[in-house]
Amino acid sequence: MNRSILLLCCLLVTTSLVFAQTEDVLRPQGKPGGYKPLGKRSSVIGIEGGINMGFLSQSITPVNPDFPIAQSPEHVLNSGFGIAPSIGLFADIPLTGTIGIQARFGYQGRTVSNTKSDAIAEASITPNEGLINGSPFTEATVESYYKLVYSSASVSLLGRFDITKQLFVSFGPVVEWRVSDAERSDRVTVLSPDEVNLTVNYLGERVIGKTITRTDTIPQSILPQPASPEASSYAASRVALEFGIGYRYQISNGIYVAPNVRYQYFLTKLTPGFSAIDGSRLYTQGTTQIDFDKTSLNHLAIILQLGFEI
Amino acid sequence: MRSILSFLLVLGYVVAAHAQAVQVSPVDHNTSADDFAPAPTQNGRVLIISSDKSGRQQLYGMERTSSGWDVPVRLRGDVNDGDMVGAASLTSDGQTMVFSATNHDVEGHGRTDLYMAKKSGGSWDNITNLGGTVNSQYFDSQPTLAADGTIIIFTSDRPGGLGGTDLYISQLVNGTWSAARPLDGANSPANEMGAVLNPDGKTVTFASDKAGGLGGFDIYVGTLSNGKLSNIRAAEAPINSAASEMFYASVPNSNQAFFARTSASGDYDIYTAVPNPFPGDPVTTVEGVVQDITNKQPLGADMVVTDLTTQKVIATLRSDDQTGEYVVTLPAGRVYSITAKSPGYLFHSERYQVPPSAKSQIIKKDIYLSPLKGGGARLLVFFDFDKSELKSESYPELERVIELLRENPGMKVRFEGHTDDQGEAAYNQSLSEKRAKAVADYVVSGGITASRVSSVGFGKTQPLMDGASDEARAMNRRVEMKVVQ
Repeated sequence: MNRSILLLCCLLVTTSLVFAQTEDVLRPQGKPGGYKPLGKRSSVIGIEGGINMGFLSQSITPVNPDFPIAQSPEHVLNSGFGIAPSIGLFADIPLTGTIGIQARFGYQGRTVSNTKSDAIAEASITPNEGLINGSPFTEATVESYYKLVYSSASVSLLGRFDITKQLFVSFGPVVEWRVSDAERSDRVTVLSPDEVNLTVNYLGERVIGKTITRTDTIPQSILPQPASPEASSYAASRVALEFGIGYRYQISNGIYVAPNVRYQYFLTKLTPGFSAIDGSRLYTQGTTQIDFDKTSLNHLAIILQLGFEI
Repeated sequence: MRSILSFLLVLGYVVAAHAQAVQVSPVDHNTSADDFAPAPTQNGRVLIISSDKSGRQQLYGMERTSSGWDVPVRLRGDVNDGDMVGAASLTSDGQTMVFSATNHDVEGHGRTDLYMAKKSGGSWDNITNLGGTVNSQYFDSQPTLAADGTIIIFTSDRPGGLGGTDLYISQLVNGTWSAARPLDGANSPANEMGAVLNPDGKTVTFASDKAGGLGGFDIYVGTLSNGKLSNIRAAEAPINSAASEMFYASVPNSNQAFFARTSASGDYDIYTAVPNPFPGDPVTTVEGVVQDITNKQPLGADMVVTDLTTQKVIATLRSDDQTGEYVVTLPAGRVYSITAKSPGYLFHSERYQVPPSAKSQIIKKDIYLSPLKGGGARLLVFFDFDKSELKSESYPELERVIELLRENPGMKVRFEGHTDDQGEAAYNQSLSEKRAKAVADYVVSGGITASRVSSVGFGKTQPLMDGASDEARAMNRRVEMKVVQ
């Protein structure tokens, strides 16, 4: 497979060299010694930097269809958005007058977060130590929040297609490797009523409080209960397809800047699907199994390239 | 005595020979890359050149200052949006350019093609391909445009020539370029290229590598007449040399020419030749500035020059958007009208006579345009002596009035007749009224509602210039148009 791709690339380059357009306005056969043989663009190397915006989505489905999952603090995990920096190196190698290959190596921060301020969780003053309106528990309004952060390195190999002399689009695969732990910070806070607390159980240790926070490196539910099964780790590497559009502007001879907008759709999901226990209705419904679908995390990047012709 | 006579003869010959010697020298800012196709503007103050110093051929402009030529600056605009762009030629007003490009962003008909660009706000844009009657799927390049923009000569290697590259000619007829055909008399089985048409419209220089030259491409000069080139002769040293020379371009009304010559590396550099042995026929250059009459701001205006004897349009041109400057080259010994139009302004027409001259001459003529609101313009209308019937030479101007009123449907105008100081006041009053009414009647006959035009005569009561000179009287005999609403 790899040998086939290599052969195809060699064939493309050779073909473009054979049919390289050397004609100019002065000489119909071109300049003796010729212009740069790869046509209208020279090879370019450069650096790039900018921001990438992460868009996370996953569906969460309760086993009990009557369970009000949309009110659960866990539902904060169904989406997320975040902005992180991105830097890298790139090389652009023309194949024909209007087509080239762009190879990139990049280092990105990845961040997404979400806040849900209208979640409902059943809470008590402290477990079994008081009544609220005659009941040992009540529905409390809580805010749940998460933030997922990790860093990655990526390699891209894209086809570049010129639409005009300046405007170009690019398309191709991107492979990303996670180079740090994926740390997810969670926080659940009771907003009202004042006198109640949440109760959760971390691996057998009971935690009671108005605000409960946690940082972990595996995907799981926000309010873990003893029976909550844990999922596998976040993906160590992911593959994406990227579509980009850029505008190449010459700032002086042989030096270019090119603002790019790129959308990366990841074929590899950030997490596999997993099941967990939702304890937000502990007093009335007990624990309920909820199924998390695979986590999609795609990115929109706004990048500025600075390129030097070689 | 005989010795003295011989000495004087020899001395005279030496002095004469020295005075005639052509000096060839490189211009400033040549690079180690190709610098070629110098195209001077009519006044010689700006030189458009082609250079591949950036790695691909692009068009640059360089300006002459008191200390020499400024550093070439890449032309702004879409003009340079091609793989290879160069070999430009300008119309006499310097506002329109034809050029050649390989793989321009504006789609062509094949390999290298010819294109046209317009100057606007200092930028060369509005790129159009010259079309399939001129361009082909082959190499079509190095255009040269007649000063009036109606003839183009260019280089092509398309089939049907005598061999290699040949020169082709096309003419602009009713706004369309005719099918290009080989330029009779110019071509040979060798390569001909790099033609330049002199502003006189007759003298053509071109390059050929045919046998018998001094080496490589040499420069030849011929005379264009009825689409044929004749009286072809080779330039002598030091213009031609063992190197290659081409793109020999003369600066009108000067003793200077520019051309390109290869260096030892094979790349072209731009040279100047002084005095120019092929200056072409003398031409008259009319130049000036178009301005707002109220605040003297320069205006970009579309201008038309008409030969008043033949009623033929001699040139269409445009003044520079930023400086208001215009330049037009005209044959001497004729009477012309020049009309300038700019959006938001009344058009202005003026008659002027270019005196016969065996020498090159420059005539300065500034033009002032009046804003539409409350504006006025002297109309270029003609009457026989003591008559009030319009002469046919007046019709183009009156058609412009009709067009103006059609473009501005809310506008009302008044025509005001004036006479000079000769004759009885009552008679002049009557004559001025009749002439103003004749103008109004013509405009109404052109489809303009009668309520939008009025006429009045002032006889000799409102002279523009005091005195009884011919000049004063000519100035005072007039019909003016005033915008009243």
